[in-house]
Amino acid sequence: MKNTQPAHDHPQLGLFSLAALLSLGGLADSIYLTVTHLTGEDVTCIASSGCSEVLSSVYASVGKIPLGAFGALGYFVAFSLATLAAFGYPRARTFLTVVVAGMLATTLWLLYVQAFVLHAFCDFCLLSAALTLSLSVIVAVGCFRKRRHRTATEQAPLVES
Amino acid sequence: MRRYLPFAIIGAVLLITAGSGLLLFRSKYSSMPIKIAAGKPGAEPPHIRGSAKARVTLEEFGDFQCPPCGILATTLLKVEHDYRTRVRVIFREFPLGMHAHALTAACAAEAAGLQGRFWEMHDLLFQNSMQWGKESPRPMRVIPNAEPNASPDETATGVRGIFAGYAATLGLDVERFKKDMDTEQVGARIKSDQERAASIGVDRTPILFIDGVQIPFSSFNVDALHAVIDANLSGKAVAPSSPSPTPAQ
Repeated sequence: MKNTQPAHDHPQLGLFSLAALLSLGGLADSIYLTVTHLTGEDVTCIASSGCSEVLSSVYASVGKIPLGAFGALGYFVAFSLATLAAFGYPRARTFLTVVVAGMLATTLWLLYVQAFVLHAFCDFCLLSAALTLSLSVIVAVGCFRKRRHRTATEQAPLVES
Repeated sequence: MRRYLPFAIIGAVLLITAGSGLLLFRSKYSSMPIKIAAGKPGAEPPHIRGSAKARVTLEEFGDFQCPPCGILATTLLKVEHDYRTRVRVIFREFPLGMHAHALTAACAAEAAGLQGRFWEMHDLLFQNSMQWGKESPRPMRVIPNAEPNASPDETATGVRGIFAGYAATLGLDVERFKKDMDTEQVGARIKSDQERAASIGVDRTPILFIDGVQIPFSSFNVDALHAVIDANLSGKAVAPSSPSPTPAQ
C-alpha cells in the first residue's frame, strides 16, 4: 500500500513564510507609531495629510495605552503563529486564523473611523491596514488549500482501492 | 534541532523588536530635558499670560496646527486657572514646515498681538485648528520652516480669510490685521522665536519648560504639571525624570 501523505507541504510553507514577513512589516510600523505617540512627536505624512489629526485623536489610544502598542502585540502574535505554521504546527494555523480575523475586524473599524468620523487618513495606519488585509487573504488561501488537501487525502484510498 | 528552530526565530524577533523599539525611544527622547540659559534669543517682549510677578514661568514652543499643542493649550489653561497669579505662561512661535498653514497661523497670532489680542487669537486658533487645518494649500507645497519672511501666505488663501474672520470676531481692525500679517515686524518675531528654539535644541512641538527646565511629554497633564509647579513654588524643584542625564545649555 502506498503512503498517500505528502512529505512536506511546500506551497503552505511559502504562504506562511510570506505571512510572517508581512507581520514583521506591521510590527515595525506599529512600534514606530507607539514610540512617536509616547514621545509626543508629530508624525509627518507623505501620501496623505491627516497623520496629526488621526494620531492625536481619541481613537489613537485606549486609556493611556497607544493603539500602536496593541497593533505591535497583534502583529507579533501573528508573526509567531505564522512561523510555527510554516514549520508544520497544525494548531498554529487555527490560532493564526482567529488572530488575523480579529485584526481584520479592528482594521475595518479603524478605516471606518478615519473615513467617516475623523475625515482624515494617516499613511502609517493605511500601511497597517494594507498589511492586515494581505495577511487575511493569505490566511484565507491557506485555509482553502488545507480544506482541499484534506478532501484529496480522504478520497485517495478510495481511488486506489 | 528543527523542532526548536521556530521558537528560536520567534525569540530572536522578540529581542530585536524590543531592542530596536527601546533604541528608537531613547533616540527621540535622549535630548530631554534641556535647560534654558540666560541670554538666548527670542521675540521681545514675549507673549506672557499671567502675573508679571508670578513665581513660576511656563514657556511653551508651539505650532498652531499641531494637535498635541492644542491639547497642551487646554491643559495649560486649566493650570493657569488653578494657580492664578502664581504662574505665568509664555508662548513661543515654532511653526513646523510639515504643517501647511502653521506659519500663516503664527503670522495671524502675531498680527493680533500687534493690536493687543495675541492670547485671544491664540485660543481661537487652537480651538478651531481642526477646521482651518483642513483648508487645502494652493498650490500644494510645504512652507519652509526657517523662512518666515518668504511670502508666508501665498499658499493659504483660504485660511487667511478664516483668520480675518477670527480677527473680526475679536473686534480687531481687520484691514490692519491683514496688512500686519505680512509685515517684517511679524516675520521677525517668528524668526526670533525660531532662533531661540534652535539655540536650545528644540526641534519639535509641543515643548514646555517650567522655570527653564524642559518637561517630558509624558508629564503634559494637569496632575504632573501641578507636581512640578508645587515643587518649584516650595523651592524644592526637582528635575523631571528622564532616561538621560540633563545637558546644561
